[in-house]
Parts: sequence; C-alpha cells; structure tokens
Amino acid sequence: MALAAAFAVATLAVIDASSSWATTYAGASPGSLAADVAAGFGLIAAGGLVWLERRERTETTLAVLAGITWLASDWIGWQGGPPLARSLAGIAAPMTIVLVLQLVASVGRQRVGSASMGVGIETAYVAVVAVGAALMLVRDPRLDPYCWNNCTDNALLVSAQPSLASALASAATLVQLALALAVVLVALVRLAIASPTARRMTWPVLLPGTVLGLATAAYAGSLLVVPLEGPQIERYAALYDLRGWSAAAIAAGVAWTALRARQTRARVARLPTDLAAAPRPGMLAAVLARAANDPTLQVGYWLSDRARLGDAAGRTIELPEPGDGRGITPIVRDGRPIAVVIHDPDAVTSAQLEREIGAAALLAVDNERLQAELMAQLAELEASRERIVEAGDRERQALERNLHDGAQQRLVALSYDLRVAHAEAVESRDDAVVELTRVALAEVQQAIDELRVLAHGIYPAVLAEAGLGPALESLADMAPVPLELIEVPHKRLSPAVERTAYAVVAALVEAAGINAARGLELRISADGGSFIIEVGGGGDPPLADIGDRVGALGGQVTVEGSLLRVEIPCE
Amino acid sequence: MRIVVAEDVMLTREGIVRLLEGAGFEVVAQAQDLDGLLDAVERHRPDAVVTDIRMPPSRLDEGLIAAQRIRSAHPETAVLVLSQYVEPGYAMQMIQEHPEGVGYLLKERIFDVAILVDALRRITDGETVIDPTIVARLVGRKRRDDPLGRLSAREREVLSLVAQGLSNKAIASRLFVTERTVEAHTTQIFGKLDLEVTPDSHRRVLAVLAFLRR
Repeated sequence: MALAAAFAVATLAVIDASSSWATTYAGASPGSLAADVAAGFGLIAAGGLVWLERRERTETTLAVLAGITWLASDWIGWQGGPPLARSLAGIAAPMTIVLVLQLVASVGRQRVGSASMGVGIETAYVAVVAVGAALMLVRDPRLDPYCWNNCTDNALLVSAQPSLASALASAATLVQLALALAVVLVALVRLAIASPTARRMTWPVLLPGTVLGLATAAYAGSLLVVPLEGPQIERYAALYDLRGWSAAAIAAGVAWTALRARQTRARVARLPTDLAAAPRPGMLAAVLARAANDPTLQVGYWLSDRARLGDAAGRTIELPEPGDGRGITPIVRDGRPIAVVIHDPDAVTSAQLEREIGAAALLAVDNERLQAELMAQLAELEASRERIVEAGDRERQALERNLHDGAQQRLVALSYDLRVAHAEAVESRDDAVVELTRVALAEVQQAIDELRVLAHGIYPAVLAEAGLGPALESLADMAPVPLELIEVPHKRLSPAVERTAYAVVAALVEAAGINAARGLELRISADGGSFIIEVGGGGDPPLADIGDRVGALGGQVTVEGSLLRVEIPCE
Repeated sequence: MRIVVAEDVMLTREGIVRLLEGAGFEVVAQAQDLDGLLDAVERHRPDAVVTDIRMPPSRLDEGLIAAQRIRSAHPETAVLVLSQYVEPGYAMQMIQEHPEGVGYLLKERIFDVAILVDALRRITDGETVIDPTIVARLVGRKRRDDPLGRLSAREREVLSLVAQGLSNKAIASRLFVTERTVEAHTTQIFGKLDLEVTPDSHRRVLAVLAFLRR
C-alpha cells in the first residue's frame, strides 16, 4: 500500500519531468492532469479503503493494481528516465482494462460469476502480458513511425523487427478493443439482470465501468484505423480525459461500497442495544433486515423437534430450496445449528453475516429462539383447543342428525301404526284396545315432542341450514325469558363463529332462566376485524364456559355491570 | 284428487301413501329426492304434493326449495311440506313468496286422517296451512310488555287460528260461532295489535306470523 502510494507520488515527478515533451497526456494540459490524478490516486485510495473497511483481498488488489497500471502510462513517457522502467511500464499500462473487467465482473459478489468468466479473465491477463512482452522484445522505438511517448529507449529489446512489432502493436490494440467491449457487455448485462437490491449495491461501479469501456473501445478502434496518437490530437486528449474521469468514478464507486459496509457494520454493532431497548419477537429479523438493507431477510429458529423452522412468533418458515436465489446462513452455537438467516445474497453475503453479526447477535438469537419455541407451542395449543371445540360441535351435529333420521323417524312410524290400530279398535268397538291405543298415542306424541326439544338442544339444525339469525329467532321463541334481538347480522358467518355465538347466547338464556332475570337484550355486530356480541340484562352468566368457548377462537369476554361483551376476531 | 308423495324413508312414505289412498286420494307418483319430485310434478301435474322437508341430495331443506319451485312453475299444484322441526322460520320462509296453496305440518300430525284431509282440501283451495304447534310456540314467545296481553282469551284463540291459515268461515265453524262474530274479533285483534286489516286470509297469515316474531 505504501509502495503504491509512493509510486503514485513519484508519477507526479515523472509527469513534471516530461511535461515539455508531450509524451504524456497528463503533462500536456492541466485538465488531463486532473483526470489522470483522479483516476490513478482514486483507484489506489479506493483499494486502501476497501482493505481498511472489509479486508477484502481481491477487490483491494484489483483497485490498487488498476491505479498503478493506469499511472504506468505516464512512466512510458518519462523523458530521461530509466529505460527499463519505461519498458516495464509499457507492458503494465494495457493491464488496466483487464483489471477493470475483473472488477466489473466481481463487484458485489464473491466471485466473477461463472467459471467460464474466470477462465476468460485469466486468458485476458495472459494475452495482454504476452503480447505486450513480445512487443517489447522486437520493438525498436527509433524504427517505429507511430511512436509518441517513447521514441528513444527500450531496455528489453532483443532484436529489432519493425514489421513484426507493427503487427504485435495492432494485435495489442485489438485485444484492448475486445476487452473494452467485454467490460461494456458484462456491466450492462449485470445491470440488466440484477435484483433491485443488487443493482442498488453495484451500479456505482457498473455504470462508470460501462463509460470507461466505451471510451477505451473508441480509443482502440480509432488506433486501429491510424495508429498515431498523442495529446496534441484533440480527439485522443478528449478520450483520455473521459477514460480518466470514468476510472475515477469507478474508484468512487468502489469506495462507496466499502463505506456502505461500514454503515452496515455500524448498524449491526448497535444490534444488542436495539434488542435490549425493545425486545419484542421479530426484532432481530427487523434489525438485521435494516442493517443489511434487505427487507426480504428472515430469521428462522430451529424448533425443538428439529423438523421445522419457526419465525420469532413461532410461525413455520419454509427453508428455501438450494438454487432458488436465496442466501442461507446458519447460526451455530456449540456446534449445533440453532437458527438460519435467509437473505438476499446480493444484499449481504453469508461471510459478512457470519463475521459481523455472529457474536453480537448470539444472545438475541438464543432469546428469540426460546420465544419462538414458546410461541410455536402456544399456537399449537390454540389450534388444538379450537379443534377440540370443533370436534365437539361436529359430534353434536352428528348426534342431532342421527336422532332425526333414527329415533324420531321410528317414533313417527310407531305413531302411525298406533293410529291404524286405534282406528281398527274403534271400528270393532273394542273399548279396552281403544283406550289402550289412545293412551299409547298420547305417550308417543309426548316422546316425539321431548325428543324434538332434546335434539334441538343438542344442535339446532336451523343454525347450520339457515344461519345465526334464524337460529337465534328460534332460540327466542323457546326462551323462558324475553330475548330481544336488537341487532343480528343477516349474512352468513363462518360456521365456527356462528356456533360459538349461538352457544354463548344459549348459555346466557339458560342462566337467565335459572336466575329469573327480567329479559335479555342482544346486539351482534361486526366491527372491522372482530365480531361483537353484547348481551344486556343477563343474570349470573357461566363465564368459565363462555370464556372457554370464545377463547378457542382467540376471542375475549368482558363483563361491565349487567352487560356481557364477547369479542371474536374474524378474518 | 291426484297427489305426488316425496319422502326418502320408505316406511314413512308407504304409510303416507296408504293413508292417502285410504282417504280416497289418488297417489299418481312417489319420489325419494328433490329431482325425482320435480320430475314427477312435470309429468303428472298433480293437484297437490306431499313432501318431506329433508331429502337427498343435501338433506337440508329440499322440501322448501321444491315448494318454491313448484308454486312458481305450476300455481295449480298445492304443496304440503312435512317436517320434524318446530321451526317457525322455515314455515315463514316457505310462505314468503307464495303464501297461497302451501302448508307446513309436523310429520306425525298427518297420521290423523282428519287433519291430513283438511290440510289438503285447504291448500288446494288456495289457503295456507301452518302447524298449530308452530303457531303455539310463536304465540307463547316471551316478550317484554307483551302486546298479546291486551287480547282476551277468545281473541288469542282467534289469532292462533288466523295464524294457522284458517279463513273466517273455517274459524267460525271451528269455534261454533257466526262468521260475522269472527270478523268482529279479527277487526278488534288487528286494531289492538296495530296491524293492517286485510281480507285476504293468506296475506294476513304472513302479517300475523311476522308480528309474532317481532
């Protein structure tokens, strides 16, 4: 790092020494000098920042080398400088575009993308170095008609081959053109296919990367036509400035991502404080989502049966399939996985999560896992309570139906037979049988009536068939005290709510009958997400029974004076 | 009189058929479910239908559905619905749209041949028949400041018979009084209850039932 900085400062002296010769763009005009310094110094500084903030070796190296190779072009034109330095600079300078390509391909992710992309980039390094080195071996600058920045020295010259050198120079330009276009392509494709989160993270590098690629392509394309360049040619000076400023913008983008990581870390570092301040379920996931700037982030806890993941409220979370684009980072304690963070891998990497939140959040993870466990058990308990009540209702309904289709039918058939027997006895004037069948008929009618009341009490068929309103009307017909239906919903409600409401009112009617109250007033209304039953004038209601019944649906019972209020949440 | 009987329990169905035939009615077809009943009505165009309220396919309220469809499509066919349920709501639902020519009786009631014959005669004459047990339950409903308390015992009796669908003439013969006396009673009752007097006996059934459920 210090070497790179020293090199950069030294470059200023090199530019200054050569400024009268027009062998560097930077030495030719203050504008170009500014672009040159911004690009070279910027890239090296950005690399340093990445190292300080994230200890990211690859990205650091890429940025620093890009800065050094960018400045190398000034060293080529060092009039009076050591020939070896100028020759080596000639090999190094064309490397910038490959380094930018790798930077563009890898920014925001761990690798360059695909394996073939990796091979392509490696090949590019080899090609640029090979062509550059070969050129140095055969290029005698004094025989080069198009030389501009180094027309005097080549320490690496083995044998002067002007025509081969010219061909190699064209090949080098062609490689530059191809690589510049590759940068544009990779950057644009990544911008196009990235998720919004990923795009937010990578555009500051990809966008200037595209501009640098286009400027470099224009520069190389122009050289292919006439290989004569130099700061005195306006077109080349302008392209140089454009390349310089876009490289500087890439440096700024790299620095920005590094600083973002610092922000993320700072936010995560506040995590224990945040969690201590407001330890409510789901807090960890919310804090992590904010820290990673990823609203889709979820924290799942392994529940004690190990078979499923639950969120902080105990609701089941599905673990994403491998390959559907979600990052999964396990949180391990004592070698046992206790939780996983499911996140957008573009927003935050598993390595970042493990390194930066692992220790800080472990306590919170433990707390929330216990809570998730409790909530899951509670949810299970609530579901089972609801199932028990529902099973009871189903049983009662089945019993009512069996009575209706079985015993009641048989008694009706028996009453028919008795009537036939009675009629025959009347006809044959058998007074004893007439009397017997008359009594039996009355008994059967009594049984039918009682069975009817019993069946209705077990489960009123009208409730399932016609709904709560008609069932409550029917209840009011038979109630031992006045039951005034002041407000009752006309539309059908969910069967569970209808059954519960009916059971509550029936229990109150029964209690009122025993306690000889003056009468009940009933209001049933739907208010937003809840369903409210208000009964006024009840005597001594069986609150435990009603509470059990209503609680099974997550509802509440409150009593104010003689007004009983039941609230049942409904979707 | 030509009759179609619909009832899914064979024993009961045969009992009803035997009763009807014994009383001199002609049973032209028997059905076991809603579709069978509607088919039979299309084919035979009977004077009356005697149907169970609970039948396949859903075993809920097919009888009521049948009554509505038959009364809309074939006003000349009267419908008597038999039920195990003392549910005033069902009876009121049935007479809501077509109050004339329909009846709602508890199943065991019709084994009394006199009641069965009377009910069939009345509904085929365009009257309405409501089971006395249902009316009794509505009249007996507990109310605050019960308006029925303003009625005399005789007036309550007349009110019940009106609610059962009886015409003034039928009430008169039931109570051994003149038709004029019954008219005077009903005018008095309707006045006391603030009900609009209507000469149409099945319209007034609905009005009285609705009042009793108020």
